[in-house]
Amino acid sequence: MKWLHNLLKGLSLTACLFVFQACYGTPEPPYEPDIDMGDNPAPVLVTEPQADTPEALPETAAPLTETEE
Amino acid sequence: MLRKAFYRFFRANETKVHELNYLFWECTTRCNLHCRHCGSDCMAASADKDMPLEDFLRALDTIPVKERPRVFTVVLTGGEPLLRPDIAEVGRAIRQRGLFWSMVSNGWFYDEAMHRKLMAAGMGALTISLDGLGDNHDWMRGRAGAFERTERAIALAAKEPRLNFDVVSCINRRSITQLDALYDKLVSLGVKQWRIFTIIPIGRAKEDPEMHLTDAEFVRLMDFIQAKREAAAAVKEGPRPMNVTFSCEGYLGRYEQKVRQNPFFCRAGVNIASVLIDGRICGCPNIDRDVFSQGNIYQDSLWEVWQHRFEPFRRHDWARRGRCADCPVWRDCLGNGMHNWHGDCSEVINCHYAKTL
Repeated sequence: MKWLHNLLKGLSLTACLFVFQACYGTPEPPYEPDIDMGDNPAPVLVTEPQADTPEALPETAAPLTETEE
Repeated sequence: MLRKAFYRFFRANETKVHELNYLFWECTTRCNLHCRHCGSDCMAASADKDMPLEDFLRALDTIPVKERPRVFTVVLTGGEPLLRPDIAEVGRAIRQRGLFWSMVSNGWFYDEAMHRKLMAAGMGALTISLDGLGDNHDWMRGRAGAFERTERAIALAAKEPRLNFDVVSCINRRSITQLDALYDKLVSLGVKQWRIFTIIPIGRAKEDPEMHLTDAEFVRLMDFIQAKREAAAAVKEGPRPMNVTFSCEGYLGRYEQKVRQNPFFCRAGVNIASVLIDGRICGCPNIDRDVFSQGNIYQDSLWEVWQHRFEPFRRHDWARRGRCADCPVWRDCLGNGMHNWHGDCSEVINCHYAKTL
């Protein structure tokens, strides 16, 4: 019943029931329209890129350095 | 009693309406770490190539604009999403459709430059994993230096007011001894939300005894979270203490609503779908994809699949078997989280309720 879903969602006492996150997911974004739309260029970097950047890793990558037990 | 009845009614109605609010995209299965608890056995060189962005967008665009709820998030997950060189382009493409997106990351590559790039691409929420302090985190993540990199990433993200940010911790037999110290560390880094979960006995974690809390340790974890939540609720003035919560991974009996805000409700397939690395369509990515996948974006319309399939996610009768068959809390638990059913599904592999008795 979509009307009931919408009604409960609109009621301040029950609205919190609709806030959820998947157990291994993220919180919900703020859903504000003024979040960057991605049409701005990334700002000029103020720090030097690090040596171990994603771009430096090959697609078929090498063995990792694992920690000792 | 009335409250329980209302919640069951609410849950049944939500299931019937099944509004798609949360779409995972497993955009890569490559990973720069080698976590002991990884359910997908991710590795640096994955057998699966990263899914091209345009393939995912084609699937996303099957959702009619008029059917998109106001609350709808695309969650980028992996593997490690930051290994995709086009990650900002991915975010921009989603945002330019008027949609919101977020990401789960191990934090290794999350430096200031990356942070700025992703914020400019419209990232709205972020989760970073921290599984212990110092060597314990490195041990869990299989790579020296991981703690230092993750700590830096957390500090950076926690300072960003435009980001809904939380830290998740997978608590194991080593980190259960560090709960208070972990809490203090996260508070010192400015974290406002800390989400805790435990490890499902699948993938690499299945045969590793150090991954799985004893029942007594599980209760200790619940008591810790409950105490932190009660202490936070008692604070009426000044800055709000960090919100500590247990993930919605299972039904908790006497701890329901004491360690998280809402009662247990597995929303996989009810409000949550995922597009997996090979195009399969499922509930959450940690659900047994060989058993529960509902279609494939390379053959099916994502929207059609969401509308007309997902029956096992929306009717849990099939799960009334094994120890769930005559369980007294079935009506509230409904067979626990969907990720707790694997293989032949003859038995639920993890019963949170039993641990709390």
